[in-house]
Amino acid sequence: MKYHSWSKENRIYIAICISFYLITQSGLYAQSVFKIPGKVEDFANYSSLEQCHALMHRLANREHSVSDSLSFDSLLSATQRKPYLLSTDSKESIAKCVEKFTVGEIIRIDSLRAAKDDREVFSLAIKLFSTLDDLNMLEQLIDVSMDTKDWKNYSEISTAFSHYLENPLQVSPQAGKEDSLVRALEDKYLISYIKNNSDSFDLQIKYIDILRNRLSQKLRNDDIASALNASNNLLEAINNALANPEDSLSSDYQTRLRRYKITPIYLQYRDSLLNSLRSSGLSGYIASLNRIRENIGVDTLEHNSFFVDKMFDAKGFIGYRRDSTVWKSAGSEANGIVNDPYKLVHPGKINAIYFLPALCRRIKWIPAQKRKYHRVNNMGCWRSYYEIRQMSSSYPEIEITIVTATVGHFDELALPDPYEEADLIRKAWHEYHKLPANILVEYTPKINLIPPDNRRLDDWSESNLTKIKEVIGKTQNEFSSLVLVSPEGSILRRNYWSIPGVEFKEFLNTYYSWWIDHNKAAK
Amino acid sequence: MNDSRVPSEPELYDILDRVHELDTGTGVLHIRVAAYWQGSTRWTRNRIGMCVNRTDHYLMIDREIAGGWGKTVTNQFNDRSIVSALKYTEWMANERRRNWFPRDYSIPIPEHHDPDAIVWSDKTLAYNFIDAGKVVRSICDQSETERLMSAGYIECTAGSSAYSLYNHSSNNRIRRYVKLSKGQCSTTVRNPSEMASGWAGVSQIDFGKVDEEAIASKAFDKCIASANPVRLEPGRYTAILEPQAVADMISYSLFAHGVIVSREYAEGSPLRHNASPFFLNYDPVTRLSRSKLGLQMFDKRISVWHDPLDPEMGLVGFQPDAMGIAPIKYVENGVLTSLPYDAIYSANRLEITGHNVHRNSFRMSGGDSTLDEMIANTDRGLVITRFSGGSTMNSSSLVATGLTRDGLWLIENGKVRHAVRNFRTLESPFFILNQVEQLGLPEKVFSEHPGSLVSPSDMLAYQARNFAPQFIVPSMKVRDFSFSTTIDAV
Repeated sequence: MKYHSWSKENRIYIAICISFYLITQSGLYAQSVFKIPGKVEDFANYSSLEQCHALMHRLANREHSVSDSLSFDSLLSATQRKPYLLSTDSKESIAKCVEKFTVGEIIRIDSLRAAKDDREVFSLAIKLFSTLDDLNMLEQLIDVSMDTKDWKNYSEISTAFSHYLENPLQVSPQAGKEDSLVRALEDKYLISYIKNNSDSFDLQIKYIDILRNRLSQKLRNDDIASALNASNNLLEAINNALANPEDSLSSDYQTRLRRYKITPIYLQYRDSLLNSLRSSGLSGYIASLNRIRENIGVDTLEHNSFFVDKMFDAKGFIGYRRDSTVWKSAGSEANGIVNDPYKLVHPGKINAIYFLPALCRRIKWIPAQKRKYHRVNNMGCWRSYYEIRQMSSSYPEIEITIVTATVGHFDELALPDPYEEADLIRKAWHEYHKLPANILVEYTPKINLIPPDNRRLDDWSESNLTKIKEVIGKTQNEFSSLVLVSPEGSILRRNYWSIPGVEFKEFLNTYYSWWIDHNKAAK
Repeated sequence: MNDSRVPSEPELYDILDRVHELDTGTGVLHIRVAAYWQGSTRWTRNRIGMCVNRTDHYLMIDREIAGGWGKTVTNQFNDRSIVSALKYTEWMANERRRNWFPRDYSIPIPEHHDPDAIVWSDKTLAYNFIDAGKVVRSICDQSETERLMSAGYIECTAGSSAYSLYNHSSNNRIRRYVKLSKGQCSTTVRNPSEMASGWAGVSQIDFGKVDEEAIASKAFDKCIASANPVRLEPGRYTAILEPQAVADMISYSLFAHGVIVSREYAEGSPLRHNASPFFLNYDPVTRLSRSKLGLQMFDKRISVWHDPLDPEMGLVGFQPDAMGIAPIKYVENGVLTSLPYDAIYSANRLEITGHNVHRNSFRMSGGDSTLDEMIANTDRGLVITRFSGGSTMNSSSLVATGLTRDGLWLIENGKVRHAVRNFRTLESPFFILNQVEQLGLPEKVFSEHPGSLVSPSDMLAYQARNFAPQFIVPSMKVRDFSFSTTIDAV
């Protein structure tokens, strides 16, 4: 900052600003230090820290704020009358202000909200604030655009953020607009904080939650400010982020974030969704989803969100229908393993798809006193079997499919031939456990460690289990997971660890009864 | 059951057939029938105090119905008792299976051939306490003439066992028969002031190889030579371990300890890995714990192995798979080459059906040095007869404490100078087996089996590896053996 070329008057005012800034920080201490001249009362209207800070910022940024069109006197007069100068909601006055490239401060959020339909004014404002690097106002603009559901402004706002960070974000046009915005915010606040404080995950999540809520529904800046100020660590983190702009978050963490953003929104709309499902069935449910989608700004049902997942086509080299007949013939090669894609969704039916681990194939009897602590029981295998039988008897229209993979052995019997293993799996689950379900077996590639170790290492990297993990979230266990899929292939509900809670059962009951009625009516 | 002390194969198979005929139940039936004879003679203070000849037999029935297990043991072989035992197992299995689903298929057992392992000697069966009493009497007479007190124990066991596995659903039946024998003799001799003590003993499958009088004379010599012991400062000395001392040090704490040498234990979860001495590290790439397999752990002259067909070692027991009977080599030229594992481990990790079952018995390679040569090559050191009261202090390093007993002598300038008061030692077998200077000829030693009396489970063929542990180890000269404190025990 070059103060030496300024006039004497300017320097005085700068000193006044600085001293006032310090007063707001620490009472009247600054007065004794800086010996403020008699024009202090002129600044009495600068009642907030932000305003003083913004003024300082503008003064320091000479070429934008002072040099061109406005003299410092006019600026001062404008800002002195600032708080209610342009609160008349008039588009003209806003446009006038924007034209003159005065301070962003004078454009209140109310005014912008009033002018939300005027695209030109809005874009002008974005331009202004981005050139002024006024982060505070940009955030307010985001809130307004959220409120107006005007998603076309998002790319501009993201660009503004990138400009602010002096580290242009690579926002691909294919990516969701919301995502680019979210990434911008994450980059701004959370990168360094999360990286430097990886142990306090709860606190991080709290901040992320704040941002999510603000993005989705809540527009109260006061709450955000208070929450952000709740921790000094965050301020440090912001400083660190500005000092060391990192490239991006780790992919693992991004997935966790994506997973997390779903929950509060879903909880918020759960009741209304269930009501709509009760009243008008699946069409009403989908309509509600669409409404929510519009509200929270998810403009597509195809991207990684709770409502929008489609069930994928699983890999498998052999499948058995519930009557033990071969679901689909194995690959064309005689003894080779061909992992063809299988359609897990049976058209015209509700589908329940279980992912069960290899441990579930142990059929040995477990003593009663050890049963509670035994790993097989802890994986939920026997409970899953019970559920499958119960679900089949209670909801006979549901098509149940179990997805599993070869591991080279069954119980204590080594089986190098995966077809033998698949047949034993079929025997165990169809004939022994009497499970009324289709079975899909995937071939798991493996390697062996060098001798004398020789141990087998399974390669799960491209398996169905990896896919389901992407769908249900990385923090969840891919084993013993259950998803309910609509006849159209959309994942309606999923539960983890195969524990159908009240919510799952409630949904299942409602959805199933509606579906039966709907089919009857159709007939 | 006739009067035969060791029933023959047809006799035991007849009993198995009779049980099958009387069975009206379902499920998978395991039947084990065993009979044994045991003769023993014990003497103390030059007088025979016990002379026992006993026989017993068992019938054990295990039944599995749909995951529920019922188990009965009886020693009554009449029809009524067998029927009630069968009914009881059926009732118990059904009680336990109540909430379980029927199992109507079984895992196929691969075809295999079990070679006939020899753990049998007619000479052991021919033992009778009249002959034994004569031998003991001569030992007692000798000790009385030399004004010493002797005590000792002679025991011979012989038996046979048959096992049958029958699956009602698949009508699949397997039968096995095995004969087992073992014998042991040990003697302790002390002087009247009880300040000198000598011991000798040996365990054999063939009792004909046991020379009681040679054992007694060895004990006499040790007792006479260990009179008037002097106190010595504790510290690290070169030590010459007799074969019995080597076996006491490394058998039950290392190679005869099933958990310690278990591969699953060595490659267990990272939370408990430091418990195993064979754990190497945790590999974050493969997410597996690695053992020390393939690494040089001992002196290059050391090899440790077991062969079930070795007549001096004994069988490892019948298992319904092919791998139970295979030889195992723990250590080859000092490199750790194999660790035992169970069937679940082998199927899960190694893609092998079967298991590498742990053996209590083992052989250790040796050298050609005699005890006299070792003494002659030693400037200053100690000769140790055996250890007693050993216990492991740390499971990962296997540092063990113990007491030297029944003969400890100081060597100076290649000659045995005088007897020494006993020490408490604190040493690890890994340290010993890396500080070897000379090795002697391997020989059979006395194995103190925890359950000296035969129990039903000992006699069952599927656990026969516990029946008669046999150790064949060399004498050993090692550097810097740690003697921690002097003790007053004789």
